[in-house]
Amino acid sequence: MNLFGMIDQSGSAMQAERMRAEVVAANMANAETTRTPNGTPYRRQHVVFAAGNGDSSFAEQFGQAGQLGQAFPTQQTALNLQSVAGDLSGSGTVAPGVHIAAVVQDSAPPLKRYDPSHPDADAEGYVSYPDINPLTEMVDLMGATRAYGLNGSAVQAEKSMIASALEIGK
Amino acid sequence: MEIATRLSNEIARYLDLNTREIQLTAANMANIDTPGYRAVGMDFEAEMRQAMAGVDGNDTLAAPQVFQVDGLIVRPDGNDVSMDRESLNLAQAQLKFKVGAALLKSQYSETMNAIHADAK
Amino acid sequence: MTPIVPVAVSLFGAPTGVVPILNSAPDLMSASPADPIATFSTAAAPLAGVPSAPFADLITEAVGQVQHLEQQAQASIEGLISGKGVDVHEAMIATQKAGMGFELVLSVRNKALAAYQQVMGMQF
Repeated sequence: MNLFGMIDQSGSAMQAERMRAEVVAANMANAETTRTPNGTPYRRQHVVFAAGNGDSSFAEQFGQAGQLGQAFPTQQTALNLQSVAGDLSGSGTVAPGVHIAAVVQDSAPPLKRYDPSHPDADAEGYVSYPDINPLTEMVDLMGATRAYGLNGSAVQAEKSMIASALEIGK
Repeated sequence: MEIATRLSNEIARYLDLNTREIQLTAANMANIDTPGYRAVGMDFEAEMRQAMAGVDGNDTLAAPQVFQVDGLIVRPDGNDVSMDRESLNLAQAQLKFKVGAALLKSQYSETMNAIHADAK
Repeated sequence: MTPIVPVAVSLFGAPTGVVPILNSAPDLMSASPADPIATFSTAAAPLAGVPSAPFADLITEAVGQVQHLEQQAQASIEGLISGKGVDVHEAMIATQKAGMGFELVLSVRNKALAAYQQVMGMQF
């Protein structure tokens, strides 16, 4: 992998962080959504990162064929991919880039608030709200922003190195 | 014919190692949020010494030893990449590369001056 | 001529006939003028053990090596642009080496040609 490949790698990280920020924004926008198209209240989503570039061949190598295609893979699947990422250093090579392995829905039960007059109230008068804490989401967003900036500075450094390499020939 | 001096070959290896260093740093930075990921690194000085000892032949540089870095704090999600360490390594590797490129350029222009010494 | 020839010697690795004579020039200066021919022959004695390769062979060999450098440069550039993972600095270094080698052989050729023409222009 040369410097251009590294720009791809940092670019994949920036893309993954951006998707994470999008998911956080969706959570914050839907913090009070009690009714989604399938009738249930909105469930908090979060992303799972994995090393590698997310090719189907990559997934097949680790026996996860087909799982990435599912809309909501189980938590177990996501964990298997993560544990693989930790083994990469021993071989002397690092899987290039990072990708979002899955967008996982939170399995926490929704918050119930008593409001009989609400159109979505159930038989006992409780309305189910998603369990989204704005502070948690803001911290997550800040993390995504700093990681995005970090990889952006990596791209800048790589560009400057290519420019320095060109100086040799001048 | 050896058109390049031993020193310029060593500087070329220096550039190769710096490229490798920045690859590893970029890989660490890309995986700063990957759960379970351990930061990787290489021992730059040892690799450089090894390269300088074996720079006479024209063989390609053996891939540097990459290993997990010790002594980093592991966060609850299993990730131990430190943003500050990686930023520092990035800046250093970038500047070292610039230095190497400038030195190499001066070496080559020296040789070219010698070749063209008698040009009127 | 002097800056080029020592460079050519170290680069080609085969001493030409010229350098030993240049190196032993001081001996000629300090020797007794009464016996110049004997001094010259002793000074030239180191030449006896030196294999005298024809200059043409040296040049041919050098051109071959430059061609090899050019091929390496071409391969590294192709590797770079086709995305095979060759680094930019590797391609630049290979290109520079090929360029320097070519310039050197070109310079040596020019000097040799000039020397030949100078010799041919001598009035006997």
